[in-house]
Amino acid sequence: MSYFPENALIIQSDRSVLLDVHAPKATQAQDAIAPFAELIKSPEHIHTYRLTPLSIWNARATGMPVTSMVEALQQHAKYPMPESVAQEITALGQRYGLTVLEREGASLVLQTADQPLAELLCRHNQVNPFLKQRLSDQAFQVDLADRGVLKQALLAAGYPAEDLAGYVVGNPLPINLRNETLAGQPFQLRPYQKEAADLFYQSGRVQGGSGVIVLPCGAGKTMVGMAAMAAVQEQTLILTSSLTSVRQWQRELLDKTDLPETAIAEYSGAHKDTGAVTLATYQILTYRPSQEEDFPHMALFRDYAWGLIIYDEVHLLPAPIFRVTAELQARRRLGLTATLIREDGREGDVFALIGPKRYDVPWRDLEGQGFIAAAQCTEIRVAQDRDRQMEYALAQRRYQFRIAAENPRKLNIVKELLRQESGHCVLIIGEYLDQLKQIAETVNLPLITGKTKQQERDHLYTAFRQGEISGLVLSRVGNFALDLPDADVLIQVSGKYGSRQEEAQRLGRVLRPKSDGRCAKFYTLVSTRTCEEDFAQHRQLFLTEQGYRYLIEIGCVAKTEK
Amino acid sequence: MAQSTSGTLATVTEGLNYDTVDELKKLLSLLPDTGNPSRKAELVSVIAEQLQGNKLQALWDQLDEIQQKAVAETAYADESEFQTEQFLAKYGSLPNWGKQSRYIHGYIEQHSRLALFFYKPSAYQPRLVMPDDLKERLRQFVPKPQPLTLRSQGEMPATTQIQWREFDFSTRKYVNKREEVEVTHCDMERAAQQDLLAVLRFIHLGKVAVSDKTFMPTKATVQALSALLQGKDYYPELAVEGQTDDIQEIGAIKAFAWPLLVQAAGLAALEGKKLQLTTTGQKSMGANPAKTIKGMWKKWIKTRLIDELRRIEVIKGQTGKGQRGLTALDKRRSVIANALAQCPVGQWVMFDDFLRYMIASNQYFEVTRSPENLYVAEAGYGNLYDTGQGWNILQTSYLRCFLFEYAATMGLLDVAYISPYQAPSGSWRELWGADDLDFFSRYDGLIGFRLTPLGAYCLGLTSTYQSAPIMTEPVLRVLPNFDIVVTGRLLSSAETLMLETYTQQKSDAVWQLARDQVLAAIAEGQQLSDFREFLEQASVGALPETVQQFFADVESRSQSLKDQGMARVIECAHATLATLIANDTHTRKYCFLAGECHLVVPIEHETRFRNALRKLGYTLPLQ
Repeated sequence: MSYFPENALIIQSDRSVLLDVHAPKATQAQDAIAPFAELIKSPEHIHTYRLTPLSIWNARATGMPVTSMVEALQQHAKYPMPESVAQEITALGQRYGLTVLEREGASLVLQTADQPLAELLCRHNQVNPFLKQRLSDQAFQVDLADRGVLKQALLAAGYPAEDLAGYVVGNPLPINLRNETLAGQPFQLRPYQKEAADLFYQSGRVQGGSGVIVLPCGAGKTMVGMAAMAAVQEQTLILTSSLTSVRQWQRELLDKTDLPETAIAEYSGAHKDTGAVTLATYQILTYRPSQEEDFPHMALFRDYAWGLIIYDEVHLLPAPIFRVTAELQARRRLGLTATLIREDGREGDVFALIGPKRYDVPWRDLEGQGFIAAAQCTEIRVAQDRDRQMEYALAQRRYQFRIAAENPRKLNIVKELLRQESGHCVLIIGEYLDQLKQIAETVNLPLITGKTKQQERDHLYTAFRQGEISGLVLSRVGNFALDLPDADVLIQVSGKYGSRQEEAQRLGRVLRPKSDGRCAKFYTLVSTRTCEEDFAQHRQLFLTEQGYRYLIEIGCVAKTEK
Repeated sequence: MAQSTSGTLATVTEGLNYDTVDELKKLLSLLPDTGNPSRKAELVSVIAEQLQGNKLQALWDQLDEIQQKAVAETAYADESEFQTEQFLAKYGSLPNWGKQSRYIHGYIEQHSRLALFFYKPSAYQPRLVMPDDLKERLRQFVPKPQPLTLRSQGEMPATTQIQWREFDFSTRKYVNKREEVEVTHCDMERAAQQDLLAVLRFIHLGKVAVSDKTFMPTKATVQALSALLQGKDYYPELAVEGQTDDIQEIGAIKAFAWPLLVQAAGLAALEGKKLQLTTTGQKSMGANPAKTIKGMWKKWIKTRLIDELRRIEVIKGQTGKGQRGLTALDKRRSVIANALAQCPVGQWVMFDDFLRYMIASNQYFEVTRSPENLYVAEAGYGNLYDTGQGWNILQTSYLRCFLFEYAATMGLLDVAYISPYQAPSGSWRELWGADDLDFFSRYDGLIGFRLTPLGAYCLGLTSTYQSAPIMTEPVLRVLPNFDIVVTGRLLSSAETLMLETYTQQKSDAVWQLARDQVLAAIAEGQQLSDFREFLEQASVGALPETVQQFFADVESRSQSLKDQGMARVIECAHATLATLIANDTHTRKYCFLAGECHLVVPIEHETRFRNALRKLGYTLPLQ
């Protein structure tokens, strides 16, 4: 078997492609496959890409021929490419464009490439319900409302539709990005933010206008959202995961765009205002008085002529929002997230209903360019005392994790870390309120939980930003959309079992680049000889796959350098 | 004239006297300027005179190279007779004896000059003996023949070329075909030691059933064992029997051998329908497997549990008339073991070369004294003796089976093999009834082997055994997310086996460290340190922190519990009796209280416990 050590790609028969970043031709290989292969993980040394039907169809949508994909792989392969992979790429690539969705007056038309395919689809269980009148041997009429679900069904049938039906025109919104913030600081989009927004909008072509941008926490996803708004120039609905996030969007929009305050409205539990730019939370939209009743606030989607809907933290999108999004395929949709991992495994729905991933960049690349802070991750293993060990051993399995997570000896480590990191802005984050209360009392730092009133939260966050308090103790509320730029040390005392997403989000809290370039520190406290070790290992997976290195200390705090 | 009774000739004259005048005249024609004698005495005298001094050397000079080698081999051999088979095995061809008759098989119409160096020891025997006086004279100027060597090589090629003849229906002619076939390399040294422990554990669980008549494992046992062995069986996907009637099945090799090996070594014995570990077997579970295998090898040489020939199922008559003629098993095996001991350690030897070496060095064994009673397909046809005497297919098949199924399974040999379906047909194809066979035996695919350090230890070549380290170059990347990616050249079979043992293969080039898998490997007796060492050697760069911690965690967990051996659990009628026995000065040294009413007695204390129990006034009836 021939072997080319200078080449960087290892192509596997399961359609995954490994990129050896140390190979002499790694950069060329990376550039060659990026258009049609999806980056799955990028730990040190080896990056993993996958050739998915979607990634191949996306590349076909941009006009890339199948032969170019196969040639790119063959040219950079270390070992001969499995024949089956070439065949699969060819077969998948040729399927794209066999069905086309176009607008015709007040309805849509599904055009098929030939009559046999038309016959096949009209007999397909999932596709058939959405095909109305047969217009010709190869064309079917489709209801406007079925655009999303038909696309899902065609995707499931293996014949993805090329959606050329375009978007409805929303009410106009004159919006421009400022060159200078309100505070007088110069402002311009970073290159990757601009590239992400361009890839989303695609100069207004029907091929663009929907999709997901994946950027690390602190990399400025809000800026990408604002750039998209400036490109679309139409009224926008922004959905976020919390009220704190609503306020942050509000602050950023006022600071970095020329929108007047009156153009921005908040649709939340407290206010039900709508405006040219409306900020709402997932919670209010999915609220309903009882299980049997409809969601009263979903009307917000339909009753206004939005030209763009932005889904912030798209990995948290609740199921009812998916359903309503299926009906909104005629509106431009932008998903923003730091990680596409959904613990419920519904990544496919995000792809089908919001859109394909348009932009992704390894976290460590942005760290290397100084756009996010460098981070040093340390796992500190803390032994339990003998009584606690016995309590853990005798507890039922489902209670063992909590016993391990609430290990009282973690408190000493927290104190030790606070001493070690004095002068830094510290966030202490955990899962269990009793543990957090005890820590807050011991170290004398304010505690913010779900029960803390929004007003008080805003007050504490502001005090933290202004350096009036050196640390905060946070429950799960601190996981998402919390913009505390100066926080540089995070101590995770407990987590939600093995959630990779939570680990990534929590690290994100300290990744905002620091003005003095200092490094962020992320400590995770784990009880030794307990199931918490296993969960911790699973939690670290996403970050190690993003290229972060974990240092592991046993029982005591040690100074570690990256 | 009196005939030589010993099959030797003292002088040339004696040899010439066994020839007729016609034959002597033919010999005379091979000599220069000898006049025209006609009487036998004159002919003998003239020819004998030519075979002395410078004239003899001149005659020798006129021989071709291979004839000179034939003369040299016999001149320097202890025997005076030319050894046809050995010569053919050593040099690959026979010398030119002259022009063969077209009508009478084996009759030479016109002798070559070589006939002047070899004579008949009697009037009716072939012309193959060199007279002693001639040997003496030849040794004065003929160089010694080159010593016999066993060919070996450091690397076994990844492919081998097979050739066969095929009838081309379009041209109506036979054509020669060639094909490159991939060779499977199987490193057995480490695998065998793990397999031994796995098999002993499996027996301990009472899961190995064998026939009470033949002691061979049942089909179910063979299937279960195949899944358990390192790297499965040699032909894992083809080892399952009963797949189809059309294809000759290969069947199991390693999985078949192990139950017999442990029985022969006295590590397990049949109780009911299942094997049970003997005391020696129980001790072996905690002993050094290399030592156990050495003992096993010694016992196997002598065992009469099975004749390996039984595994060549196409040879019929073994249990009938042919049984009486089969030779002693230990003698056959000893000859092979001696020949194996002459193989270089760590060097690949092709099976055909080994076979030739055994023949050429006269390390001969016979499978049967009466090959006429063994046959293929149908009694009366296809008799094995039809294929000729000496090293016929019987010896070759037996040797293959012994090496592949037993020596390699015990880890004495690493093996290189192809599928028996692809193996070139031998002379067996000419046997009546063999046309329908896909292969003669399941061992036909063995093409080479390598004597391992364990083999050298078992054969007595070394007094101590140290397992060969897996030398490897950096071909892997170990990632912090526990992925192990092959980024260099393709892995060797030993490297693959190592990864298969401790990790899970996720895709073609990616393996993943998994705690369950590593713990399972440790439970089967693998050494975590071996794997870590391997990864450190094979990995480009140091192991990531997460992986180092993974090893530390697993090591700590694997050392938290210790197997203290086998024990009996004894149920007492009531809790007070259990407490009494557990605390009594006589019995407490030999048992532990388990729960309220149970006692645990380590096997090694059982007898003393029973004795002490009697002193206490109780007894434990045998179950």
